[in-house]
Amino acid sequence: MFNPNRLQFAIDRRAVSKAELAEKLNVTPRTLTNYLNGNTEPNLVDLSRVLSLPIDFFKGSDLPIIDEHSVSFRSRSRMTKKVKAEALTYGITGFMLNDWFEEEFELVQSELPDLSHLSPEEAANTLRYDWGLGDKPIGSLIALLESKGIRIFSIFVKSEYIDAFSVWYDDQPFIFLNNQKTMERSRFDACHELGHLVRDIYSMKMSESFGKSLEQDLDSKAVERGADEFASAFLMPEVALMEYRHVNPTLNNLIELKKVFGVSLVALAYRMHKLGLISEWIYTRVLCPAIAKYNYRKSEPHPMDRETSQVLNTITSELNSEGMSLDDIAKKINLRKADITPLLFQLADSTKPFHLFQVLK
Amino acid sequence: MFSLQPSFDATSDKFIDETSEVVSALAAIHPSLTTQLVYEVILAANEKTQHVGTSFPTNALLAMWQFHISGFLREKLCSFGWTKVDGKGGVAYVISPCKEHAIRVFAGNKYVGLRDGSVSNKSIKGSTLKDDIYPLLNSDKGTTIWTLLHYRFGELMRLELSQPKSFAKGRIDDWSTRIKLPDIKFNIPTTPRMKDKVEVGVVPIKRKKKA
Repeated sequence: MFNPNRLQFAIDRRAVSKAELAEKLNVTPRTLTNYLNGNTEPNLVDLSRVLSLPIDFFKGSDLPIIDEHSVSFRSRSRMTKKVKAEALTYGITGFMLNDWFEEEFELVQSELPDLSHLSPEEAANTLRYDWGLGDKPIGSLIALLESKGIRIFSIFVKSEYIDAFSVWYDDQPFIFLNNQKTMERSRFDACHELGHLVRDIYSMKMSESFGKSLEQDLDSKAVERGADEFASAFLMPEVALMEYRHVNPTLNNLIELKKVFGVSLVALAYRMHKLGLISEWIYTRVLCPAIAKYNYRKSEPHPMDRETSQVLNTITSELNSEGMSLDDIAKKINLRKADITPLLFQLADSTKPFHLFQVLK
Repeated sequence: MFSLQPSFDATSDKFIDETSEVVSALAAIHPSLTTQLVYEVILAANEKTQHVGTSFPTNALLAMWQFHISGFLREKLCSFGWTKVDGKGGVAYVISPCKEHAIRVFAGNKYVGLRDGSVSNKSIKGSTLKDDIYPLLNSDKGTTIWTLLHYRFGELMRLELSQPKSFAKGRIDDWSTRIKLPDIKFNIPTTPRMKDKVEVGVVPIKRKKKA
């Protein structure tokens, strides 16, 4: 039985316009609208071919729905509707994958505290205390978040306006990180989203329930600023940075120091400036022009190694050892390998060489 | 028998290096003049000279330092009411609001910031400096010349703000007052803390048993 809900997902996932799709299917836009309204049934073979999805995909039950307003997007105002919809399809695919993984594996369940009553700085310090991190710099951040039950997936959206987004699904927090950014920036984005998950937990969940927009209830810029402050304080605790108060804030020294905290040069300079470790004059007159001159706002000097998901790595390795390839995993949720690999931090499929070896043998 | 004696010419009348005295001596010139201000000027100049590229002639680096320290010192002090005055031959002075003090930047020799030794300007200067020190600014206009001397070796820079007294053979050879400014270390101190990070071990994942 054809499910129109899944056709809409496929359109968003492939980021095609309805007019384009209608042309490729050789039907009128009106006919396509009828498919989407469930008034008529399409030719599933054609749909499968044009949208590169298995026929069975279009027959499944309703997919999870993500209310756009329950999602914390960065740079929401500058995003096009199409990009937003594409990003949400990653979210839905992530939920589908996670549901299947949870059927097969026992994963850590999340118990994120509600810190909505605290300021960003206080919330960051409280969470660090709760998690027993003290004021030390954080090594592998993705592993840390996963160990607290947060599901982390990557996304592959070619838009500078999507850094990351987070959402609650079945009381489980999810963070989706755009894999196109530098690792330092991704770490900051992950902590920014963590800030939303612990500080805006109520607003995110309520707007999901009542369909209200976050922006209607709150000043979205203030919310985003709060999440940035949280991320900054979480990655660079004041006490830890104070240890380096005698270090001259030269660009070279900051480049060394950013490696300690695993943050971008820009984020470190800003945080040190806010904490009074760098004077206004040095920050605005010396560091900012130097950072701009070397294009360090977009690129990163001495970039750190990219972190990947420990959980997803373990799961795929385990399944691979059982002879299950990424293709097989994708088939379990009626998708294709290309649809799930961007979510898995582009993890390599190790089953192929094994099978090839077996054949050769 | 003989004993080793420092080969210095202690010609300066007054060498100030006690922190509180340094602060007072600077404030006596003008309240805006602080060790923090000089520190920021040096950091800013350091930043400008750090990334000059491999093709930059190394013998021009000192001139570059000179240029940037002068520039940033003037920029900072002018925000407190000081004025830029270009002397003869484009010499960059910055004059205090009361017109009683003028500061000029010099690269100094290896004795900069040290009580002992014959501190002087590194490169030989011409008659312009002589004119400035003696009649032109000193007496006629009642303006005292101060020189901000800097000397860098490796990652350390020593500084002093000194008042010249006499000039001979292209160099200032005597000083009325020498105010030693705090040394600046450009390198980052490495502490064990830098390597001490929170690491999560293995995130527990268990395969469910199939029925």
